Amino acid sequence: MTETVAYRRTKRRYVKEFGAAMLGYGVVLVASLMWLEAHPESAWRVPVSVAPVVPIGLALWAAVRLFRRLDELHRRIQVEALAFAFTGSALFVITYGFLEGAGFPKLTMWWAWTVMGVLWGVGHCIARWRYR
Amino acid sequence: MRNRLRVLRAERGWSQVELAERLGVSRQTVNALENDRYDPSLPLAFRIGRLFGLPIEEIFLDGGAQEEG
Repeated sequence: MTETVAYRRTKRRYVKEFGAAMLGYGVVLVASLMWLEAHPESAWRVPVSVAPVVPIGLALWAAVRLFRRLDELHRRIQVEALAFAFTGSALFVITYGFLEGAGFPKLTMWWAWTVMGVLWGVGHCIARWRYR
Repeated sequence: MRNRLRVLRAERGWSQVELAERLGVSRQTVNALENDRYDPSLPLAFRIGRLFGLPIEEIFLDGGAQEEG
């Protein structure tokens, strides 16, 4: 079904802002990796390693701007999705922490965000379905 | 909470998108309201009342009051 002009505009703005941030992330990441390979002993190693976090911050800012522009139902959907992701991630991290004690391989911190991101998407689908 | 939104909209010949545009919300919000899956905030309920020229209690039916009565 079609949506209102305002809602479509809101989504388009988010896609543009988020897309620009992700494009920036790709550029900064590649530049950072190339620089680190060329200057493995540099004192700037630490700040250059975390440089890709800046465009990631811009992506989060785009998400916050989207949240503020949404109407009340879509805000509720986002809150339910985030609650699902938060509690689901906590469950995963705690469970896997115990499993590591039982001999499972150690996972990197990247997994925490990956799980949270996937659960955010799943939670969003569930919440949208509830208010269909 | 049940409401008469679908009937009131149909009486005016508006589509869900048209009603959503007039209320400043998304079409999905109108759909969720009409299907009694979402109760609006007070400000949105008042906007709906003003748009249809009716008091809130003539649009939204207070099921709790019927149970208590």
